[in-house]
Amino acid sequence: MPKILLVDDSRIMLRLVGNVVAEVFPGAEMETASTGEEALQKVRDMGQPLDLALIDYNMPGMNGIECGAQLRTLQPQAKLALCTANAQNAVAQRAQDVGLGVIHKPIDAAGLRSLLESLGVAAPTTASPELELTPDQVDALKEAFNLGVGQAARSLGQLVEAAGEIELSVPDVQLIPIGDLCRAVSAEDVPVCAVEQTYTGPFGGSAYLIYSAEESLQLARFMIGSTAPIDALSEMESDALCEIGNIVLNACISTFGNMFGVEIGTGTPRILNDTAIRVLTQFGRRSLDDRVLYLRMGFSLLEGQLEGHLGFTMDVAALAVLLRHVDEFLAGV
Amino acid sequence: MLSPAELASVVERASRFAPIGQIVIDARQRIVAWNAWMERASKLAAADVLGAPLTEVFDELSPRLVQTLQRALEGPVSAVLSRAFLRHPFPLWNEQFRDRPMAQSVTINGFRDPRGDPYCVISISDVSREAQREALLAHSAAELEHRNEQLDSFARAASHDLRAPLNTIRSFAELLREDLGVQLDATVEEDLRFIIEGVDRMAQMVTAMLELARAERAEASFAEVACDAVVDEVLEQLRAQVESSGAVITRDPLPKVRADAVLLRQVFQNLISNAIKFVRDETPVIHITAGREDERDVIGVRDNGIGVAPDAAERVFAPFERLPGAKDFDGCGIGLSICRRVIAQHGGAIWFDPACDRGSHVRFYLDPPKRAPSPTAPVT
Repeated sequence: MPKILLVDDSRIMLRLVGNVVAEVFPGAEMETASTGEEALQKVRDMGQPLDLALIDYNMPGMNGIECGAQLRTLQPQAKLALCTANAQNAVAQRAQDVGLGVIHKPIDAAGLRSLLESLGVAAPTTASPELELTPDQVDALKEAFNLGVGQAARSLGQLVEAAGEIELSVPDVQLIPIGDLCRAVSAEDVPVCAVEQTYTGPFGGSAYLIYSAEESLQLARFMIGSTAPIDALSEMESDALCEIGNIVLNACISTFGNMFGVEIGTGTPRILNDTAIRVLTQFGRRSLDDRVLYLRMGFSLLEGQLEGHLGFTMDVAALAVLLRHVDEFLAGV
Repeated sequence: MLSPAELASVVERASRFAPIGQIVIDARQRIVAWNAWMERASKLAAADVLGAPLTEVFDELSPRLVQTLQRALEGPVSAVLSRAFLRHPFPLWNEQFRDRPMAQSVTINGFRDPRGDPYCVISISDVSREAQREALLAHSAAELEHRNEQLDSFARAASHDLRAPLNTIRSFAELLREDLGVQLDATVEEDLRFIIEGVDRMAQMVTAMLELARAERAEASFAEVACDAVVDEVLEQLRAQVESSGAVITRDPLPKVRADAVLLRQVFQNLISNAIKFVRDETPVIHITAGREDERDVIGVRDNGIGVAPDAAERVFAPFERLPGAKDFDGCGIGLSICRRVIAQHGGAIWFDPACDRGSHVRFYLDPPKRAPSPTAPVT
């Protein structure tokens, strides 16, 4: 377990930063100090090497840079970073001069991960990479999702007359790293169109329906006769795509819940136009190695075929609960 | 400290200022909350609707809306209704836009009370202003599209209609020369030559005008393009010109760029052709340059030709503008205009390098938008 020290004179800040650190390093051993002097004392008394310290700049007594510089001599191997809300380059420069990383307040998981990257520390992944689905689990999930998208197709059919011929299918279910899904969706730097909806219940996370820019355009064109390019989608066209995604995600999640006997609620959907990596890592909060339950979704319209991507991100514990429910269902069949 | 009841009243008072409508319904779709915004927009007082089923208060709700509410209660799930599919979900009015019902954006969130009973909150935003703005934008876009089409057909018609009388003039000038036959004296011969040359020149300009009009209207579709391959093709096309001039053409290793291959070929063709053409009493020596500057690939064509004076370096990109010293050369000054137009479509820039002291060095970079599709790509 990594040993992490947080130094800040504000108890609220210690709490907030602690939450972020716990999110990125689940199970880390955390110590706190409210002054630089206390931090140095704690490190002197520490029986083991310190891995990381996040030190507030503005504190009574010794400031963060002095504290960091002294910690550096006590624990040369530790990664140290100064937390500052101060946008001035001078402070950041002085911190870097004494070998401190800099992280700007307010601190969030994405910021912490990019700090770790700059310090050359590998941020832990939040999902175990070995997890694989058994063929039975794949079948059960595929069944559930096919029922879900079937219901979604009927609902979409009610939206517009022309959509009566919509057929949806889920040919495959996989558990893959987020990074692999991003590559499946589109090139790294090209924005995608994603509808994001959180889900809660015995297991929770975020659900996504993602289209490449081109596919979402075709969908918009088909459903509402729009011809705007992706970066010029009007409020109304975005809303329409959001509603379509919402219908598909809600149908999948509800059917899923019914089949496996759990109640899963969903949050308000929102539409995101950004790169697949930024969307699926929740703007850096998740690691590209985290697992995502991925379904490729065929979308047949009268005018041709579209391919959408359904992704359900969740943490390891939630995934275990989900698979337990699937296994219970399989045992009952 | 306030009592829980007093606290609830503070929250209730605060909610009167909410800039959105909120309705809460229970498992049987009976109204349990109706905020002040709803009272204003529906002209129905909370006291009159509380406890009544929503479908009785609004008896013409779309079946899809009712079904969505039912699903939200069962889920409990959240849903959005966009006005693309349901223009006016609820019969509400914004006093500023009296001629039609309020444009609405609706969010529906199902939830459970502490006992586990289902409820659903409906949040309604007034998007009349946005709807009006969008209608205006759509109108302007259609108008622009229409005018562009008119311009385009004007350019086509003009170039076609102008060419016919030009052909007539040319034909009759030649007939005149034949008719006069041996009696033709030197002055008349020269006058006729001026007429015919003038007509040819005008015909060229008319064609160029049409080309420029086409370039302005061309839709670019971007893909990764190897510049080396494009230059190979262009040199093949220009083979006659290269061979007759004896031009020596060398190049740096050229990068791959994101571009429209057809349009990029036009750029290279114009630049290389210019480089061969604008040389006085010398064998053209041309080098196609490539380098990284400011994290961009900058490509160029350097020659040993007549060069461009610094004060003319911008002017030469204007249509039909020719270098002061270019009177002795063919062409009508449209090539660089087309290049600039194409480069602009690629989000880049093209310019003459002022540091070039012999001949000229025209350089450009491309920076096309990242989005993949072209809006007019056919649906497959």
